[in-house]
Amino acid sequence: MINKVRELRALKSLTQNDLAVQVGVRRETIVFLEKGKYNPSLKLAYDIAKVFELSIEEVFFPDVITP
Amino acid sequence: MLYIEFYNILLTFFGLVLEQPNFALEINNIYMKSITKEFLLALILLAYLTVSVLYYSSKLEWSALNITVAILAFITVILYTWFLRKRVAEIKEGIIDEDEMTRKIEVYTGHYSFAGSLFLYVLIFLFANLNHLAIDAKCDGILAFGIYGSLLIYISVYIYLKRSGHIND
Repeated sequence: MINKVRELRALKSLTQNDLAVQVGVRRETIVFLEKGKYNPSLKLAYDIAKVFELSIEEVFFPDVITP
Repeated sequence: MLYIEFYNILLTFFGLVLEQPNFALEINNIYMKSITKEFLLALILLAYLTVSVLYYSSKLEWSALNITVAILAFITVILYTWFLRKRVAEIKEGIIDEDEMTRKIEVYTGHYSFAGSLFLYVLIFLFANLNHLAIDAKCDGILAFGIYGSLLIYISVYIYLKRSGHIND
């Protein structure tokens, strides 16, 4: 999965720690997520999208789009 | 002389182990969350160290297995004390101690290190002389090597998974 978390976070002027606290995970989870080294659970993806007031599809995308 | 030094090391173990239930209770007070697992582990370590002191006080044997057990006890106590201290500090700062990624890494580490340990024992037994698998001096060495290997595999796999991000596969 690829995501726009880093860009959206910058737009909202949030630090990694701020986002981590808001969605209830460790800061390193956000770090790994932004680097694309960790695929979040559906709940975490939902919580992150909610922080940015977007839908999950607007924040997370699959690496390869299947027809 | 050696006996007294060994006894001192064991007493240091005791000091560190006695600190652990304290840390566990501190976490409980701050976090208001059940920490039965940590508390039980601390108590088991304490019981284990008590038995070790009693055993080594009565009989000092320097077989490979005894040395392995002593070294493992030392490593476990040091690492666990460090881990609890870190956890207390993090909780005081308001950092979440466990989340979905850390749990996932732990599960994957358990899976891979168990499989790795099994293969390690297969290799050990392949290279060991099968005639010595009965209870004798060489069996100690094989077991000690296996225990060291399993510990090393667990630590290596944990570090690798944490850094590589292969838990997504």
